Amino acid sequence: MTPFQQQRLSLSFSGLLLAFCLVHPSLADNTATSSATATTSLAETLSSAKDEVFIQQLITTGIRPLYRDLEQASQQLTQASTDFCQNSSLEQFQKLRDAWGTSMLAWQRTDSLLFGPATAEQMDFQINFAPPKKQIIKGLLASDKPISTEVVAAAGVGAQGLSSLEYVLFDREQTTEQLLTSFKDASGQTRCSYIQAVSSLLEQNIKKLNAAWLSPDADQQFTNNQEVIDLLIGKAYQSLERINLKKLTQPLGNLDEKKASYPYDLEAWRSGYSFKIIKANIEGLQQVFVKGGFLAWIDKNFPSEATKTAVVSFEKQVQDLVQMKLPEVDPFTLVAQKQVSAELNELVQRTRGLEMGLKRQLAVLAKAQLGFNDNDGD
Amino acid sequence: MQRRQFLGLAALTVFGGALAANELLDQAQPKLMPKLYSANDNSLGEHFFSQFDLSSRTLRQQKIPMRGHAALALDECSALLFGRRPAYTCVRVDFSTGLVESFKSKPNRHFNGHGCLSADRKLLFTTETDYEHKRGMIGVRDLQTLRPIAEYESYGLDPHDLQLMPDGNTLVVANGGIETHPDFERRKLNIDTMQPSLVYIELATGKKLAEYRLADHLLSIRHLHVSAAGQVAVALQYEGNLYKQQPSSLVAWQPAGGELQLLKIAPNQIAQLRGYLADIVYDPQQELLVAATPRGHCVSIWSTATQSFIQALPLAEASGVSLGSKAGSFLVSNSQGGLYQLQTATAQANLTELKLFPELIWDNHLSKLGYHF
Repeated sequence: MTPFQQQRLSLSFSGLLLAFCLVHPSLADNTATSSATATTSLAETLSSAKDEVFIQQLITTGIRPLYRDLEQASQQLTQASTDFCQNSSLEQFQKLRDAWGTSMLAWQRTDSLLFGPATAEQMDFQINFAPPKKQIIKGLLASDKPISTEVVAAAGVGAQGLSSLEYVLFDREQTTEQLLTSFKDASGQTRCSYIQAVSSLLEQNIKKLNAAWLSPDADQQFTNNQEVIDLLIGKAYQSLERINLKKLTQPLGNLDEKKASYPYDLEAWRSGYSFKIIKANIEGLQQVFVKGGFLAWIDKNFPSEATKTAVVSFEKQVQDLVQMKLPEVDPFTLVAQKQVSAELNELVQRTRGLEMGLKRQLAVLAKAQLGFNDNDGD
Repeated sequence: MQRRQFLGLAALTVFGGALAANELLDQAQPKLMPKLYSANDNSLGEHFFSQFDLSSRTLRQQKIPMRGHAALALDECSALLFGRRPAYTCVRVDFSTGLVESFKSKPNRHFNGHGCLSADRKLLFTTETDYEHKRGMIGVRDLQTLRPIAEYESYGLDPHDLQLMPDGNTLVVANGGIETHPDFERRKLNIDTMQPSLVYIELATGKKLAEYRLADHLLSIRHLHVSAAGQVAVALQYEGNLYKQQPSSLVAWQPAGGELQLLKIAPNQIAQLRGYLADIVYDPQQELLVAATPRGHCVSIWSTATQSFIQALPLAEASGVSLGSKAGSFLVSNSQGGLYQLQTATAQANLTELKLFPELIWDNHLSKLGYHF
C-alpha cells in the first residue's frame, strides 16, 4: 500500500471540509478557517434556497415585458404581412419591413434569456434561424400553390422565422422598387403567401413562448437561487460572447491575418440592422439585470465593497451602451469598405468591456458557474 | 461476438501480458525529453497549439486555424491536434519548423475532438459525426498523408474519445450519445432519448465486438484512459438538471474482462463536481484515477482499488490531466494558464505550480510524450 493509500481514511474528514469549500472555490484553501467555513455555509444556504419574492419580481418586471413586447410586435408583423399582400404598395412594403425590424429587435432583446421555454424543442431556432436555408426557401417560392403555415412548419427551421423573412424582404442586389415588383409578378402570389405563412407561424410560436412565462407556475423555471444566478449570468455572458466574436470581431476581421473584413458575416446584413441588433441585445440585458432587480439582488446577497463597485460599474456600462450613438453608415457598407468609424470602435470597446466586467467581476462575486472549457461540456 | 465471449478474450489478451499499444510504442523509442502538448486560446480569442518542455520549462506556441480539443503527441517535435466539435479541421504541427498541416473532414462529416493511432503508427483514427444521417463514425486516415482511406460506424451517436486496446486490434469508443447538428451549433437535440455507450470495434473489419451501457442514460460516456493491462477508465458528463438531481457517479471503470461499473461516491460529495469531468488518466501503480473537474474547480481523485472517490483538490477550472514524469505524480493544466504537478505518492496529495502563463487559456486535455519512471 502506498503512503497515499494509507492516508485515505484519515483524509476523509478533511475531504468533507474540502467539499464545503469547493462549492465556492474562491473561499477554498487547504487550511479553511472557521470564518471561511461559516461564510461558505451562508453562501450554500443562499444558493440552495429559492427567493420567491425576487424571482417573481424578476419574472414580472424583467422577463415578461420583453416577451409581451415581442408578442405584440409579432402580431403587428402578421397584420403588416396581410395588409401588404392586400395592397402591395411601396408604403405598405415599407411598413412591413419596419414591422419586421420591430419584431427582430424585440426578439434580440430576449437574447440573454435563451433557456427554459426559449430553447425547449428548439423554439429559438423556429423564431430565428440564421443564416436561412436559401435553397429550401427558393424551393417553396417556386411552387405554383399558395404556401400555408403547415408547409412552412414542415420545411424546417431554415425556412421559418425572422431571418427567412429578412431574406425575402431585403435584397442588396435589387432596388426596393425592383424587389417590390417580385411580389406583383406571376410568382408574387406565392411570395406573398410565404411571408404571410412565415409571419403567422412566427406569431404562433412567440405566443407559446410568452404563454410559458405568463403561466402562474413560471417561477418553476428556476429550481433555486443558484440556478437563477447561473442561468442569468451564464446566458448573458454567452450573449455578450456572441456579440463580440460573431457579430463584431469576425465580420470586422479583427483577428484576421489578412486584415480582410467579412460583411456577409454580419448578422442581419441584408436589412442593415446589424448594429441595432447589438444594441437591442444590451437593452434586453438591461431589462433583466436592472429593471428585473437582478443586480440589486446580487448587491444585497453578496454584500461587499467589491460587489457594490462591480454592480454600479456594470449598470453604468450597460446604460452607456444603450445610450451610445450607433454608426449612421449602413453596417454592411461600413464593414465592406473598412471605413474608419469612431462609433463602431466605441461599440467594439464597450461591448468587450461589458463582457469582461461580467466574466471577471459579477460572475466571480456572485459565484456563477462560468468557464472557458465547460459552458456546455466536451 | 457476444459480450461474454468478448470479455473472455479481452481478459486472455490482457493476462497474456500485453501492454497498451501507445506505451509499447513509447518504450520502443529512444529516451525522449518529456514534452506536453495542449490546445489553448489567448484572451483575444485566438487559437494556438502549444508544446511545453518539462525539462527546460519553455513553451512553443503555434497559431492554428481552429479551436483545438485533444492532442496526440507523435514525437519530440510534432503532434496532432483534433478540432473541437463540431470541427472541420485538424492539424499536425511540427514545432521545430513551425509547419502546420491542416486536414479537413469529409463532406457531411465533422470531427469530434479526439483521435488515436494504430499499433504500427501508420493509421490515424478520428471520431467523427455523419450529421446528415445521424451516425457516429470512425474516420481512418493514412498518418503520413493524412488522407482518408476508410471509415467505420461507431455504433452510437456522438463518438467522442477513442483509444486503441493493448491487443492492437481493437478500438474502444466512447459514444457520448448526444445528437447535434452543425446548423444548431452545439445545441443538444436529444437529451430525453440519448443512449451513450462504450463500444469495442474490431480494427480489421470495423465490426462491433461488444457494447456496454450504464443504467443512467443521462450519463454521457465521453473520455477514456486505457491501461497497459486493458482496463478502461471512463470520465462522464451528466446531462440531467443538476439543480434538481445529482448523478450517482461521474467515473466508470471496466476491469479487463469485467463489466462496466460506476465508482462509488457519496451524494454529498458528488455535488461539488458539478456533473462534469473533462479529462481522466490512470496510474496503475497507485491504482488511482485523476480527473480534471473544471465546473467543480478541482482535481478529483478516485481509487480503483476501493472502487470509490477519494478526494478533490481545489484548482480553478482544471482542464487537462496526464501522467507525470515521476512515479506517483500527475500533470494538470487549468484554463487560467497554470501547469501543475499533482503529487499523490506522498502522505498528503498536493498540487504545486510548474509554470503559470497568465495570458493562456489551456483547453481540455494534456498529451504527454516521455516516460513515467
